[in-house]
Amino acid sequence: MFSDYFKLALRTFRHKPTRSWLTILGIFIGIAAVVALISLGQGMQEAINQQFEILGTDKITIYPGASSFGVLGSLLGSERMSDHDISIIKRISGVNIVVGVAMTIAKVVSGDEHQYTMVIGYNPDEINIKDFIGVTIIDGRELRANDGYKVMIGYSLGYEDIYEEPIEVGDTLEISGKSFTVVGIVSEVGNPGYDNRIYINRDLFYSIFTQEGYPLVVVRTKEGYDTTSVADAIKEKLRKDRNLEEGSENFTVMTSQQLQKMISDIIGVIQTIVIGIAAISLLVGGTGIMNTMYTSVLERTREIGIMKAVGAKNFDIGMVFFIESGILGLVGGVIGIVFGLSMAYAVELAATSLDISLKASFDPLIIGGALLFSFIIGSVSGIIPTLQAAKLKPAESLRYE
Amino acid sequence: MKEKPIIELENVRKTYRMGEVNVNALCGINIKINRGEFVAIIGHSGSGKSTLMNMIGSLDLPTRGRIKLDGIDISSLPESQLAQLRGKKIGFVFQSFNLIPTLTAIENVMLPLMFKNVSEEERKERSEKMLARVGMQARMEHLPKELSGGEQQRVAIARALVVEPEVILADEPTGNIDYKSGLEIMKLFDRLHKEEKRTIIVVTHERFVAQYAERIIQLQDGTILKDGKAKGFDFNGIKQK
Repeated sequence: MFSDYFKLALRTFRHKPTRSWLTILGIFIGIAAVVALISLGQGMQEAINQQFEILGTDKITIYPGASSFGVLGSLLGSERMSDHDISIIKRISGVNIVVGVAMTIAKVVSGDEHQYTMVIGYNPDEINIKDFIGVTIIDGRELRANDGYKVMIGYSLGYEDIYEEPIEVGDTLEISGKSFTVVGIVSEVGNPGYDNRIYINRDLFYSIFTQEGYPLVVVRTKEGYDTTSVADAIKEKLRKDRNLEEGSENFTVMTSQQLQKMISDIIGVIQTIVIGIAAISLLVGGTGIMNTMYTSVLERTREIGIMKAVGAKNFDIGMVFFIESGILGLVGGVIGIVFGLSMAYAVELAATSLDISLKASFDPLIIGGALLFSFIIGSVSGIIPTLQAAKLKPAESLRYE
Repeated sequence: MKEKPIIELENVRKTYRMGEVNVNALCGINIKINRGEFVAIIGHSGSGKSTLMNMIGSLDLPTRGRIKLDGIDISSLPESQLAQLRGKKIGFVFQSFNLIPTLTAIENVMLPLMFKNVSEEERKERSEKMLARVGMQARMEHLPKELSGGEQQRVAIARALVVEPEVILADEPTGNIDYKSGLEIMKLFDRLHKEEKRTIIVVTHERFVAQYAERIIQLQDGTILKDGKAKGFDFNGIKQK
């Protein structure tokens, strides 16, 4: 019986192909947009999770200022964390390594090109680069505490075209007017904020940039300790030391999970807004289906009368129209998914060629969800016209011209 | 013992509301039709014969009065049950054929069986047989628009017959086709009546059509003017083609 409804419903596609395809177009554009955006958004989320995996999940970052401005905010402000702060943090149980990090953006000249790049000053004796950032040396050697004018560079500077001529181990860089020799290149994190960096010794950093204090302090916790409770302890001790009330801290303590969640939340909000806008086009597509189905019911009023005269129940008539509008949605959905995923893949390729790591996600859940959603949009849009068709009185519909 | 009539109308009234005025299409009709009768309902346009036909066929419900189809009172049944009853007991033949334009001849004939949940093979077999019976076996795969008026009407008759209905209800079956095809259609009805003892009710305003019947009911202004044997019926004012 169901296959009979199906056959009756499919007739329309054979006999009114143009109208059917135009209606499907309305749905397919919406589905394609939503699928592409979800796919890219999810891909972005996965990429970020992967980065945090590299950076390490047992890490706590502490920086001056309220949390809303982030680490970059602390760079712009004049507040710095001090050696006194570090000595307090070191005494807290669960704290394994504490590193004061100096950072600034400086003009870096390579050959006859220059770029403004993040320069990080740290002490290689306090922490190795693997514990610090999560990366490994892939060319040359790691920076040492007794190195003079030597630098270690991020992955992108050595292997991507930040500079037209990629920097190699042994090359000379001019940072803020001083010459440095490149001794090592580190592996990729997948985030330009990390992969475009230059690392030098902290004492040298201070002598060049005339700064003191740390815009960033990185803590690694001991194994077996809960990172969040260690972070809470740090927050409490620093607050007591500075005689501050809870909630009015002039510094921020954040675990990598919190940071990850903060970024995810921001992406989530943006994604919701963008997908919401795309979803409006789905609504428009649904209205298109409703319109088409209304026309169809009107055109086939007489046909409905005939079917009722030969024994069709309201339910039979309803099913034919319901399935017809569902198919309109579903076909639109299938084409939309194929198109949307291709679009996401095209964006991924374009981004890759621009050295932006943005991967499209091909989650079966997205595909299944979009299919279900398009069928629901189609059939829900068909409900009102369907009810109208089913309720037509046979004698009246047979008189209809 | 007298047999129960297949169709029984008791004081049937139908009032349509047209804007501000009520129009009485039928004003108290009483008819009994027995199994195996061939009845013609005649009358001028506006006499109420189409309304009467809709009532008998349960396509429309009376404003007042009772209609019994094979002993079942249909005046108060819900639409879904009416649909099932129609599908089982009545075969309609319309003036404008009313074939579904997007279905082929055989698909049109198979349609009523689909709503009765008959299996696909049986549907096909019965429809083929029925189309052969009306002389349409060679054109089964054609769409209605590829058939002449007479051919379309024969397909419509096959569709009406395929469910083995108790009553064949034909509303101006020759109205949209030429005289010669019309004669053939009427001969077909005549054969169905004589050979298979089918109950046939034909609504018409054409004299030659009515002459095939054995009983004629003449309507005028929503009431029965005459009801009697076709032999010697006084057709005053009825069109002769």
